[in-house]
Amino acid sequence: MTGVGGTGYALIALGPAFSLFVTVIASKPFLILTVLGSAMMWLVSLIACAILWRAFLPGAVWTFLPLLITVVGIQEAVRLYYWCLYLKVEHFLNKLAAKVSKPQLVATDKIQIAIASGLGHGIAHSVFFCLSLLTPAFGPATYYIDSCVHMPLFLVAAFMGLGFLLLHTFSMVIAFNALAGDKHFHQLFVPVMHLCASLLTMVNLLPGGCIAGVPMTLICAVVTMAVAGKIVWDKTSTGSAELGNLQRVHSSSSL
Amino acid sequence: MEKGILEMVGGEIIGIVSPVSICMLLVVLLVHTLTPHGSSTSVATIAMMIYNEQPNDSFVEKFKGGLLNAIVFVCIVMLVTFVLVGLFYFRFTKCLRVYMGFSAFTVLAWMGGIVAVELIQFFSIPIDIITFAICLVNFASVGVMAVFFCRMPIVLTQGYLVVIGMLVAFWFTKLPEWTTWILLVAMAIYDIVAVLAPGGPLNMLVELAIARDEDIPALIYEARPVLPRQISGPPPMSSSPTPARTRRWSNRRAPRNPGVGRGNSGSNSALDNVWTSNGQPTSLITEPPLAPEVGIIGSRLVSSTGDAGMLNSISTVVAGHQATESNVDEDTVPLVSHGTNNSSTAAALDGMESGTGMHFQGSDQGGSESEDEGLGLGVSGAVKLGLGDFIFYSVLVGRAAMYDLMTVYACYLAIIGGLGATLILLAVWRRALPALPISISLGVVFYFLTRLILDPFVVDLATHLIVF
Repeated sequence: MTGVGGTGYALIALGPAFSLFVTVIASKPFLILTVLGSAMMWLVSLIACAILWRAFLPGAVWTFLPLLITVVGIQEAVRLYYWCLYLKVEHFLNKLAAKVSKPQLVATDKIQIAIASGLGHGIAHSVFFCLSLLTPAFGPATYYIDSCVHMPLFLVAAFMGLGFLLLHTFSMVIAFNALAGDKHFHQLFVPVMHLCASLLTMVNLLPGGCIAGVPMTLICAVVTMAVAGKIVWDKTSTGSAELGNLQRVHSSSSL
Repeated sequence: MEKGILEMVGGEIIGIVSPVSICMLLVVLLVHTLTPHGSSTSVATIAMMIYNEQPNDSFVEKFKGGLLNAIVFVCIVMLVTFVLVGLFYFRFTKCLRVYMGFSAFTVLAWMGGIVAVELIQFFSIPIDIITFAICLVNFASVGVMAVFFCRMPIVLTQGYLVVIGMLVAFWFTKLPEWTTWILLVAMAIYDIVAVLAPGGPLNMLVELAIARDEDIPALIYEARPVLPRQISGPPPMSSSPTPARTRRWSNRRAPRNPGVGRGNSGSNSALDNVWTSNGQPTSLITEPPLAPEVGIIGSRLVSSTGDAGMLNSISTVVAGHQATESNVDEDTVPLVSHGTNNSSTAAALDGMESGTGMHFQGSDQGGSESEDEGLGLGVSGAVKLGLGDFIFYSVLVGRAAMYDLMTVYACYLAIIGGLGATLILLAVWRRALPALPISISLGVVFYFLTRLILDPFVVDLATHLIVF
C-alpha cells in the first residue's frame, strides 16, 4: 500500500524497539554491541531450527505443533547458553572496572544489559518474521491470506512482530533476574510463556483465527511486560541501600 | 553522576561498525532501487576478462568461468600491490599521493556521475546538464580535498570515504553472480596470504612503513581524527602523560634513543620492542608512555584506545596474566592492509573505455594504495579500517540484496559479527590482521544458508501466521 503503508507497518512492528533503543541503548556503546551480539545468536538458533525442520516444510498443518515445541525448546536452551556467556562477560567487566577504578556493575546496569540482550532477540525476530515480508507492502497493493480475510497479512504480521518483540525483550529481563537469584517460578515462567504465546499463534491457522490470535499474542506480551516491570520495580526500590546506587537508579530512571 | 563502566567500553568498535553499516545500507538502497535483479547489461571489466557469464550456461561452466575470473583478478591485484610496495620502497610518495587523488576524483566524478544519472532517470528529477556538471565537479573536488589534502571537519572526510566505498561497491555488484561470490572468497584468501605470509605484499608494505616510521598514503577510514603533534625533543622521563589517554600500544623509542625523532634507529628499537615484549619484561619498560610519541609515529601504528576502551580492556585483561604492564605499553601495532580495489576501479574504467590501450600506468588509476584495506589501531584510539574492506562487505550485502531482504539482514549480522571477532583478535594478537576473511566467510555461509534453508522456512511459517 505504497510507502506510507509500508512504513506504517514497519513502525508498528519496530516502533517500540526503536524508542527503547534510542532512549536506553544508544548512549552506551556496550549495549549496542550487546544488541548486535544477541541478534546474531538468535539468528544462529533460528538457522539451526530451520536446518532441523527444512525437510518437513511445507507440510501438513499438524507438523506445526512438534515444530513449535522443538523450536521453543531450542531457543530456551540458547537463552541459557547466553546466560552463561553473560556471566563471563559480567566477570570480565567487573575485573576491568576494578582495573580502571570505576564502580562495579550495579543492578540497573545488569537490567540494562538484560534489556539490550532481549531487544537483540526481539529485533532479530521482528526483522526476520515481519520486516522481510514487508517488501511488497511498499508497492501499490495489499495482500490477504485465506485464513484471515479481516486484516491484511502485513498488518497481522506487524502486530505479531510487535507482540513477540516485547515478549522477547522482557522475558530476557525476567530470565536474567531469575537465573541470577535462582527464583524457580520466574525461571519456569519464561519458557512457559514463550511456549504458550507460540502455541496460541496456531489459532491463526483456523479460518478467521487471526481475530483471536493477534490479541492473545499482545496479551502475552503485556503479561510479560507486567511481570518484568514488577521485578525491576522491586529491585530498584529495595535493592540497594547505598546512596550512590540510589542516585544512579534515580538518574537512570529519568531516561 | 559517576559514569559506570558501560559507558566506556566498546566505543571504538561502534565507531567503526557505524560507518560500515551506513555504507552497507546505502549500497543496499542503491541496489534495491536501481538494479534489484542484477545488472542487465554486463560491464566489461578486468574481473571478466576471461569469462563473460551468460545466464544459460551450465553450472560447471559458470563455476569454472567464475574461478578463472577470480584468479585473474587476484593476480592483477597482487601485481598492482607489488608495484605499490615498489613505489613506496623507492620513496615515490608524491607520485603515490597524486595517484590516489586522481583515483578518488575518478571514482567520485565518473562513477558518482553514472550513479547520479541513473538515480535522476529513476526518480525523474528535473535537473539540467549544466547544473549537474557543476555540482558533480564540485562534489568530486571537495571529496579529493577532504580525503587527502586539506584539514576539514572529520565528518566530511569520513562521509566522503563512505561515499567512495559505496560507489565502488555498487560498481562491483554489477558483476554477474557466480563471479561475484567466487571473487569475494578469492579476495578473502588473498587477504590472509598478503597480510600474514612473510612474503606477502601487504606485510612488506606494513613493515616498510614501520621501519621508516612513515605513513602509507592510502584511503583508510579512521573513526576519530588524528591529532598531529610535533616532536619537541626527548620525551620527558617523568611520569604523567595526558591523563585522559592511556596509551596501550606505543612506540618505545624513548628509553633507548632519547634524542632521536623519526629515526631508523628509533624504529628499529620499536621493532625490537615488539618482539621482546611478548612475555619478557625488559628494563626499558619503566617509563610511562608519553603523549608526544603518539602523534609522531604516523597515523597508523599506534593506538591509544582510551581509558577503558574495549580493545584496551581486552588487552588489559589478556596481558594481566602475562608479565607486567610493560608488556602492554610496548607494542607497535602495524596496520593491516590488503590493497586492492583500485585495480578494479581501473578495471571498470578499462571497460568503460572499451579496452583501448590502457597502459599499465593508467590501469593503476585506482592506485591500489588508495583503497588499502586493513584493520588496525590508530593514533587517537580510533580503529582504522581500510576502504577495501568497506567495499567488499558492501558488495556482499549488495549482492545479497538482489535476492531478498532477509539475506541482507542475515549477511549484515554475519559481517558485523566477523568484524567484531576480527577486532577482538586484533586486541589479542596485536599485529596486522586482515579484516576480510572472517567476515566474508561468515557472510557467504550465512547467505547460502539463509537463501536455501532459512528463507523457505520463515516464509512458510510467516504466511501461516505462526511465529515463535
